[in-house]
Amino acid sequence: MTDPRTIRVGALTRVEGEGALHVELRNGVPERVELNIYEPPRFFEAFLRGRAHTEPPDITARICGICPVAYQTSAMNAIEDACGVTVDPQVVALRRLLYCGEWIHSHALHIYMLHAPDFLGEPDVIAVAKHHRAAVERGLALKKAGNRLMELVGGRSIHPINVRLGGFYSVPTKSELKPMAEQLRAALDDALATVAWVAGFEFPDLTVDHELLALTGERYPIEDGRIARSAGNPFPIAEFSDHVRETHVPHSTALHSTLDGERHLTGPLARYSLNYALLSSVAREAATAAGLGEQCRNPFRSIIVRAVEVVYAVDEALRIIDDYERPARPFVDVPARAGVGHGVSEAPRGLLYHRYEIGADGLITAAVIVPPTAQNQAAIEDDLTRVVAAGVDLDDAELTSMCERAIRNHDPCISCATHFLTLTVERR
Amino acid sequence: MSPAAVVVIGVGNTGRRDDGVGPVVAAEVAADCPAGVRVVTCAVEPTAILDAWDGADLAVVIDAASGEEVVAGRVRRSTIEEVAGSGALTSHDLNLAQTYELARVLGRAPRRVVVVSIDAADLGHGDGLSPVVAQAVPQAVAIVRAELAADAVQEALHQSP
Repeated sequence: MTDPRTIRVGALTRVEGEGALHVELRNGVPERVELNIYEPPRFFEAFLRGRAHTEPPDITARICGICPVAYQTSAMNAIEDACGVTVDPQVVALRRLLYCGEWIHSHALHIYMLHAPDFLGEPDVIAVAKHHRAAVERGLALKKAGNRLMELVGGRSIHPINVRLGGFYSVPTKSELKPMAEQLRAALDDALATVAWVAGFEFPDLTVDHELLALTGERYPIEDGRIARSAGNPFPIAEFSDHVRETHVPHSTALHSTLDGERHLTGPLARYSLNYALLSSVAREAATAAGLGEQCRNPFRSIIVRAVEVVYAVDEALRIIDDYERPARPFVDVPARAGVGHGVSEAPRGLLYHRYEIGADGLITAAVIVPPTAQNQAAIEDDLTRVVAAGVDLDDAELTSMCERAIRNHDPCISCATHFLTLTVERR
Repeated sequence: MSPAAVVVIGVGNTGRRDDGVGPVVAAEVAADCPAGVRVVTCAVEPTAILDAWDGADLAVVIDAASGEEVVAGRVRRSTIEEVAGSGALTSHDLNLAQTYELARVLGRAPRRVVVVSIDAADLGHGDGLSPVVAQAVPQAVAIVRAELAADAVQEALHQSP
């Protein structure tokens, strides 16, 4: 191994989006670790200005094909907040049901197609399928159950079209949800088997001390909630921008964020660690059987946490369907009024905040969208620094692989944050 | 749903202009196609495509093509093997060739996959095809119908339950 030396990887696979990673080592110590997101900014916040207050749920859903429901929900929460409208609890339950479908589909995709190959020493899911055919079939069945739930409630699985401000264009009858419950009962067995499968993987040692930021509430947070954090005091959603500050750094076209001036982590690890007590008993039991405690601060074990969250989402969807009473009206009117509204929800990758200012004419005058991957950039860079520091004796290929794994632990959606990573490691 | 011996799959997003040419061609084929042929439309989403062609003898996939060497409105017929080998898995989902490879490993690939591609001119947001791609639709429909009229396909259709 020469020193200095440079390692280049043309493409980091199994992430959504394009970017690069630059690592500089001096005398074996990581000196500079930068996640370079160079995908051009997408200017969603700018072109929302001047649009009707009813449009952000449909427009912002287009930010991401994996988590459109997250964008729709945070947008609706914010605008309904600005307009002083409260929606029917059964409509809220349907939003949560739709969101469960997105969690199941997104997490199953990441666990089986993107993340599991890292633990099995395989390049991709196709190679995994050659040796673990039943497991991949199980993952596809889970993903299909999530997609089906999104189609049933949202009209289609990608960019749902049945969602509107104040509720839905149409709502299902109880009998229409019944076949879905049958599919979800089979999915619950698949979800539990997934937890047991991933719990058997080998996990590198890594403990992170990022402050954790998530929502909490009466139930495990999905479609709404209030702020929870691991160290500082919680704050009202309306003060989000006072605490989570966005700054531009030269090496990324996605804004970095800090929580009261420090790096923080949002997403499955934060959500689980701050809301363990809110998991359903079947999800908690699965977590315990998988060896998870009440908190998890090893990002490599995030695959287990996601699997537990799939169990929860399936179980929760079954509960919602069981309790469901069709709302008298599919939506409530949301007349525009001048004001400011704040909305949050838990996207599969973490807390997603929206803020809108609406004029008296009902047009958006300002919009702020803070996605989870953008918030997590500093935490990802810190994880990488720790992984590189612990792995300086690894050869180039091994160290590069660990860096790629450290990034994939967080299931980053670079397209959400502003797409493909090029990795460069310089050893001096 | 029991498997069909022959499946026509229009792949694409009708909200992204010419990306919707697959579903447009599939709809025209569905309007007048042999009994026993199933016509479906979907996005490039692996579980949807795996389910659509599971157990089929022949799958005809219609999709828009993009890239540096496209000639807007050009229609090509290829085998899946000819469009495979497109490289690493680079995003959250699998492309068509990768989905076929996964299906093959899982034992869920059709015996034969034919890809009818139409080179796109405009993949921007919005409904409707560009004029040059709209003009190519009849040729693509004719190619799909010729595949469905082939002796081997007719035989498979007659042997299916």
